[in-house]
Amino acid sequence: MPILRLENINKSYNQDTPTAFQALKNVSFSVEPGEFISIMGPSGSGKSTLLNIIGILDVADTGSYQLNGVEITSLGKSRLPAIRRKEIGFIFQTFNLLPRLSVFQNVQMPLMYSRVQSNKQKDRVDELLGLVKLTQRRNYLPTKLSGGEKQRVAIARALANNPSIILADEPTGNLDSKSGREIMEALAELNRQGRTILLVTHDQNIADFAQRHFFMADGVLTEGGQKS
Amino acid sequence: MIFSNIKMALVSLKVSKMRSFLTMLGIIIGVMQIIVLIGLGQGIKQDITNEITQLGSNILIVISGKVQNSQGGFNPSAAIGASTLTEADLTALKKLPDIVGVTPIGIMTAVPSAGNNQAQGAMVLAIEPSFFEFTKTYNLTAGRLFTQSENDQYAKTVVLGKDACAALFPNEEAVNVLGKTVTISKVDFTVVGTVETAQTNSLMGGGNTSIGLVAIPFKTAKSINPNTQIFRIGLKASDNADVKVVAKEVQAKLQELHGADDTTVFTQNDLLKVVDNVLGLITKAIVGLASISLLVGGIGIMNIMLVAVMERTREIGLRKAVGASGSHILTQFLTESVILSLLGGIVGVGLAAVVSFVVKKQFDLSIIVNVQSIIIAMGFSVAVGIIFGIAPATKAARKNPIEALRYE
Repeated sequence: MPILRLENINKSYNQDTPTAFQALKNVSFSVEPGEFISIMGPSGSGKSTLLNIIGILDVADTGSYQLNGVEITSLGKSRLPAIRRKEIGFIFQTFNLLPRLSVFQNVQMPLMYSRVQSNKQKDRVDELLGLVKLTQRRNYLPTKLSGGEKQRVAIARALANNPSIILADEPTGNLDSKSGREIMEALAELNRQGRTILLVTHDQNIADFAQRHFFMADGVLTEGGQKS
Repeated sequence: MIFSNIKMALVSLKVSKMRSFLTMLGIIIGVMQIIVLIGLGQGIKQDITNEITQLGSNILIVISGKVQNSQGGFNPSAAIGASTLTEADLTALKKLPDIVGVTPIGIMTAVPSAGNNQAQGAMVLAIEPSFFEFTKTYNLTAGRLFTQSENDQYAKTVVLGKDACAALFPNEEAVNVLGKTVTISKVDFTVVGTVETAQTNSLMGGGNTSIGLVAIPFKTAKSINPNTQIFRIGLKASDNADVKVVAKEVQAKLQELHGADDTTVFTQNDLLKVVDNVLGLITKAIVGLASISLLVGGIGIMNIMLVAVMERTREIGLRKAVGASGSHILTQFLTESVILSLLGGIVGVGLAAVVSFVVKKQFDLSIIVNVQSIIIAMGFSVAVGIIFGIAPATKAARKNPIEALRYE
């Protein structure tokens, strides 16, 4: 059974206004467990909109979206945060670490919302920091970390609740090439361990880390499409 | 989760210490005011209650005018206007079977002087020696009190309160004032004694009357100024009499003499009730006014929380992305708001303790700071945190996560 399946997803913005545009047009695709998928495309092609819908931060206008067999489009808004924290792990281009919190507290955050017992939270965070090789930076504030370290903290945070899929939105966009490569190698290693990863990027070298490739243009998604 | 929220709230407050402190200032002042004012009200009430209790349960006080209105409440206008009490009333009341003592209290309008010194604001009381026995609140510091024979013989003797003594004879020891002359209404009086008291005097209607007390014999006062009014009559009932019955007898006798029900007779219980009513009302009114500070403090908290929600929009987006629900965000910001006002409340309690200590020491006022007033003030501050935190917290909880994550 696929982890996620999208069928004929449509999404429009500013409907019934002169600035109306359709961001996604009949998008259909599915992701099997353990896959590493890349979606490439120019700015404004609809990549982020698709990622937001898959990450349950946004909802489609029409179409079907199943996540681990659950029809997300039929669920009420109040049920979405619980599914999001259980099934989805986000990695952002700008890291999005909270500057007032330590490395430990940033990684701990998703566990708090999942009501994991505090001693288990501590064990899990220590385990994750070991995984991303940041145990020594445990009590540092994000401002004291390099870009690569920040993104490794974000990876640890994304893995905290052991999600079904990791959504990485331009994860190397704010990093130098060396740090970018290290992050991609870390994601590839996670994939080898069985993690399902969906990567959005406009960098072909980064996309090459994935096994399946999609291309997006003007809201239309095509598999193995043209590469820039 | 609640502990995590508290921890988060403390982290947020720590990041901007000065802003947090300034935000709390309104709450700090409001809580301090409430505790100090309630404490002051209770202190005064306790002083007066103690003094009334000291008078004894068989003491009755007659005043001119109806202090209770038609609904049984307090009528403050009763104290206004000329007194209807007369010397004929004194004579008639002395003859009542259950009355064993009567003392008149008159007031003379005059400014006492000694040489070039004047006792501005002094209260010249025209009394009989039994007054001191009735009130029991004056302690002799030098000399003696004037006698009944001095009263009967229109003697020009005077007893001075501590502050009147200090005003008329600056830098003089009380004992050195004895035998000196004080001029009242152009008549010279000889000082025979000085008194002081830390107690209030319910026979005089409360307040610390030793401040400006200048006491002269009642008959002497009447001989100097026939218009000297009797504004209180103190009565002592026999030990085995029912004071409530005696009060009714006195009231009936005065109504008969005056042809109108124009006086009020107080027993000890009546006085305690009046004190309780009046001070209760005053305390409620001033606490109500002090609460305005808390409301202003609450508006300050709401303002800062709204700014915090705006500043931390991206954080809200991120928290939602990692799984926080709207209620998680609402609880987090509400906790911050309550922690802010609660810390303000705690500092306010500390400040109230300091202010109470200073007021007690410097102004010689009784302030009772008890757990009840602290709980009331803290309860107010928490309520303010919740009420004024709801709007910003709701705004945060309703933020769209995608727009929030894009916020710069």
